[in-house]
Amino acid sequence: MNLPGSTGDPSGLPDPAHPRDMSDAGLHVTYRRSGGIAGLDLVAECAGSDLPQDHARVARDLLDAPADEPGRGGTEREAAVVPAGADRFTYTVHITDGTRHRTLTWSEGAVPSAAEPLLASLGGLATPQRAP
Amino acid sequence: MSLQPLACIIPPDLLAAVAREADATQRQALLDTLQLDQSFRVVRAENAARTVETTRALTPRVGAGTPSRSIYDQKHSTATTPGTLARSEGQAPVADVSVNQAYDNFGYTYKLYWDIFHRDSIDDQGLPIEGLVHFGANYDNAFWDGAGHMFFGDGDGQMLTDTTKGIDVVGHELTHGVTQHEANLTYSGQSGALNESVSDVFGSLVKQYHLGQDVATADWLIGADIVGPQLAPALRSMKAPGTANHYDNQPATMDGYVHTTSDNGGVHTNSGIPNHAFYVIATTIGGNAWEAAGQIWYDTLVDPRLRPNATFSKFAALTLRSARTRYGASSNEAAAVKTGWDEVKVRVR
Repeated sequence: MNLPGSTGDPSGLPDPAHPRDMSDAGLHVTYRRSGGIAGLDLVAECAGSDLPQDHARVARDLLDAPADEPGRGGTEREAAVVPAGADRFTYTVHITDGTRHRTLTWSEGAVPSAAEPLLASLGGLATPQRAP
Repeated sequence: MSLQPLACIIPPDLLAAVAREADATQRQALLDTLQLDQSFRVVRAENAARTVETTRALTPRVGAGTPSRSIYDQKHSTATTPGTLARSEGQAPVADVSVNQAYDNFGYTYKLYWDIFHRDSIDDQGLPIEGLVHFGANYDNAFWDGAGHMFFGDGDGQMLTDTTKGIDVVGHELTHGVTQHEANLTYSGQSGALNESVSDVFGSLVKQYHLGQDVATADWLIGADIVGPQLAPALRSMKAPGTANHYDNQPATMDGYVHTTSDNGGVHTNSGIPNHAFYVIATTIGGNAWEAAGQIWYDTLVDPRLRPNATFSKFAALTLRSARTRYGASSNEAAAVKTGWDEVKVRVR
């Protein structure tokens, strides 16, 4: 498992191995990693076209997937499941294509493998924010 | 033989009934007797409560008083099962500083729990202590997995550095295990913030006890030894919540309680409130925080009346009950507990 949000390319420059998907112009993604022993929120926001093509496709798939698909995650309210243990991260991603909206929340350790590259990509763009 | 008036068993309600019918002189004498009788009843009740011992304290396991530590090297993987065993109980230090720091800081944590609270490890039954270090790549966190393992990242050098270095951080993680085995405070909302606060309180006590710091010399910071430049000088301050670093917005009182869906309902944010209550109580009592204030918190944590969904108010009420039980209803310790919760504007009920 890669650890979403802990590493990444802070430069935001295109990675030749992951070309940007310019066809996803309407796609918009926001990201928040909360929790951890520091209790620090890391946030990021970007257009789908700013994501590597394969990661943008993950976001599109998450938006397209039926709400009850196993492992996809739930809405923020549905995902208010108490995590096992303590001090683990929580990831919340909001995806929209302008007409449809999805908010997905996962506790660290319960992130579906398909979503890990997207979270890693967004984590690389994220910056700290005072908790709301 | 003369009859000792205080040895006579006259129910207080009978005394009160007689006093109502008596003339002024007799009434005053009877009311004086009633007041004295009440004082003796309170003292008797307090003494009885103080002599209660738990079964666990009377029957320690063979080998109690010595931890059973195992430190595993995860070699930067994110595997959640123990990796390569790097040092086990009684073995000499190894070349890896993180391994030794985890080993030592677990030892100091066990020592506080054993020396002061007579608790034998995480479950009070000598549960082996398993620390997994070098978890992930540049991993900015340490956590308790709910299944007996504590994970420690090396940090990215900017937000966090090697998390094994923090004696309070290691104490914090192990205390999550203690909480799980006792009150099992639900990790969400107020009960989650209490869960976090209890870990900060005992993490800080581990540090203070090891360093021999009293309430005046302790820094009351959490994570000062593991923060990088981005979060310096610390993760949290129990003395002044909200001031530990640029991003710290912990409230010190209920006026600043944060309602949020982030971080399981702001468990690391609202923990500032009970954290500050503990600080006020400990400093009001004075001396060493692990003595009276720490004992009151520990008594509360292991009190079966502390339920998993406890609110701040319920927890506060139980701390006051613990203080009255152990030190007396009119003790300075009980008064300090009331002062602490009043200061953070938590109603004690």
